[in-house]
Amino acid sequence: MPDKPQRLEFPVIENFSPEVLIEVYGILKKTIKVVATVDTGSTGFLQIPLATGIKANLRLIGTRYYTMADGRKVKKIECMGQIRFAGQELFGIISLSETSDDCLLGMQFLEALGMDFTVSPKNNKAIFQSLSIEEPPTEEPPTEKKE
Amino acid sequence: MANGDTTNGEVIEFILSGEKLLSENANNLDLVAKAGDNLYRKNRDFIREKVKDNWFVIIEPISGTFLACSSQLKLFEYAQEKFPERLFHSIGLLKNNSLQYAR
Repeated sequence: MPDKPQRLEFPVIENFSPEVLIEVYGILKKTIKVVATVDTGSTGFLQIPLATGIKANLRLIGTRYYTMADGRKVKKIECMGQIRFAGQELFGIISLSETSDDCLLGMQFLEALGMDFTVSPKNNKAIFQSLSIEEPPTEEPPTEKKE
Repeated sequence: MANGDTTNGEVIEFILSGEKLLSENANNLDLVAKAGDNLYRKNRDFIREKVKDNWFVIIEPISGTFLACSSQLKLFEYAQEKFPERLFHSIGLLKNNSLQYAR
């Protein structure tokens, strides 16, 4: 496992979706590579299509209702699994969609990753950066004018 | 509360009132979700009194057992040890769920 990088940049594809390549695996460590969109409007960890979850041998744990952007409540199957990304292995609850082919990384993923995430449409970049504690700027004492 | 607080990652549990899932339907995902959601709705005020917003919550719908913990990993490890082979209905982070129901 490589060291955690300080900064990672990905191009933002044409429809303004920041997409990254991740590896998903379950208890049998059978790894599946998927391209996932970082979706800060999603409160979850990762959503993948049902078939992808089955291929990765994720461990079924139950169900959960999710509220969609249009207000609908949709039941999804949930599994335990891990994501390998940016030199880290992150545990989380992965939801399986029976109706969508999208792979979505949500806010729980970003929290677990512990890196800042920035999208720069101007530069066509999505940027993950290690959190750094910046010292607040100190106010310079006013200098006295000497005549 | 049965098992202390979650400030150090412990799991709390208690039995919810309401209609439970029949054990013969233990593997029916639709019924697991419906029973779990109904138990949560019926006990929502009680749950929000007992559990902090940033805890993860799941319900085992056959026994009506409510489980909550600040660590999602610890929560599911505990749940699967206590109820092996059972399916759970997840509420997720309580604060997110409260927001969803408030819409």
